[in-house]
Amino acid sequence: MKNAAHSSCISTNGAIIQQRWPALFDSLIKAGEPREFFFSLHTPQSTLVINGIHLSSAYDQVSEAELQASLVPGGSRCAWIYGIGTGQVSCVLLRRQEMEKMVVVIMNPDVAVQSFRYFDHAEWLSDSRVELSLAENEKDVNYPFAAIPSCLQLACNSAARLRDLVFLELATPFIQSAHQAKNGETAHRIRENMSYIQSDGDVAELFGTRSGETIVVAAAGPTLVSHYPWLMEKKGNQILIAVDAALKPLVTAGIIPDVVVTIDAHREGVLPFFEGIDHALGASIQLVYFPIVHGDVLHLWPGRRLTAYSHSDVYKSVSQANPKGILFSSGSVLHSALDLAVKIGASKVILLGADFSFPDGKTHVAGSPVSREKQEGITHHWVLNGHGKRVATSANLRWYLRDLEKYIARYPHIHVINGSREGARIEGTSYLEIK
Amino acid sequence: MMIDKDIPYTRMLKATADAFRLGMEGLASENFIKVIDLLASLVLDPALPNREGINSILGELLDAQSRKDYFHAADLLEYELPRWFVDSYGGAK
Repeated sequence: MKNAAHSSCISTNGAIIQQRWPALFDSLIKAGEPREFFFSLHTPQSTLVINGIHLSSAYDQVSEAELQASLVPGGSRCAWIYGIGTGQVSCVLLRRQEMEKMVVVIMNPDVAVQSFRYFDHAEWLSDSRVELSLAENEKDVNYPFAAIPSCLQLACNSAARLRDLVFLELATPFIQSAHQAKNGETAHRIRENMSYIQSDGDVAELFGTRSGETIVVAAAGPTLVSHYPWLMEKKGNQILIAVDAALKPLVTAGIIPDVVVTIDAHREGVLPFFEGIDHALGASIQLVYFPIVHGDVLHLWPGRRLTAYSHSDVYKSVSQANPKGILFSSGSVLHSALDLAVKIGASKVILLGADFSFPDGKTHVAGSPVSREKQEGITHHWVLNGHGKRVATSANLRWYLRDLEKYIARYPHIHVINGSREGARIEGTSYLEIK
Repeated sequence: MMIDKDIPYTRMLKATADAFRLGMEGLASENFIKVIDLLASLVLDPALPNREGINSILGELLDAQSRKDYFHAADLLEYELPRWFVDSYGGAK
């Protein structure tokens, strides 16, 4: 694999692409230029730096490519590569005799064109086993795969969802090991809460009780506040399920949810959501909790408590001894709140404050104990909002968003509505203009 | 590979660089914090040789991590920092 200190490769690369993938070639011709880019020459190996992101190592690109290619297990007959980088990963994988098919996915045509301009990609582009595709044509992650993280970082708007799904897959082993590392703490928390688990109600008591109804789920995103007038007007007509971080802001606004869902094990994180809630008000709200929640929350809660489990192995033993209903959980309490709405029987769910991002630079709804200003720009982590504009977010929120979308996709018969266009666009939802 | 503070610097730096190169953001971030903690404790040593060199690399490293320039962060961890150790101590710690 050669690279050039000038833009001499584009004609060779372009000719192959035009011959093999003429439609894709037409798309690439329309590509624009990145905001800023340069070709680094004063490093051991030259590379492109696009919008502040190095496209590859500037020291040893072959070793780096071999490392990335190692994610595709030996013996694999097909592979997907998300991003093209300098083309080295494709070359490394195609040298495997057993490789029969490889799909290379372009995450940003603007970036791809610059790479085709500066690096010689002819070896892999001309290989008959290769298919070249645009991210907008790839709905889900395919396996086995390798990824070029710089290309994921530089993904264009239409590749944002695929980018998040790939990053989520790459993070999954770490997330699982982090959960396993907490198993001891989790078991301790369950033991501490055993008397509550044994004597409290069962979330399954709520399942199927409001079949065919519209249920409102209040998350704790900044846009929740814009729905207060609507919620005040509708109060009493529809079931309102709130996540724990939204409880205080809602109550302060005079909106009393029917159910609050909580999941957090950390006392400092979760207790402020409940401290100071008026006892008479709290007594009218049902608390749905997972057994890992800090015991002080259960002690403090004046209303009815209902236990729920997730499918996690940590609940296997306690759920056998004390069977209760199961709710979906994948890191965010909103997952469980939505699943509760579905299991209660909702035919339509209205999500409010489900922003998965920081609209107006705020992390949570005003008045939530965890609400903070977020100064970080959108060049780091971002998602598209309902207007198709980039809005800043965090890696975790992106993962929660994509897991929520996967959940929604499993229930095509349930109409899920996103109340605001200012937060992240949630695939599988529609918008209802709520005033 | 998740690192702990008892493994040699070179392995710790390589493991963190690998996590960045693979796009494993969670693992890379966790390892990165441990690397920064150790380097920060090194900088506090009054007898530290070539202080200017490590300060410069550290600044660049933090910038790269902050703008999610993972490959540049990885290069600094895998190549520049070990070189600094060799130049400053005559070998990796």
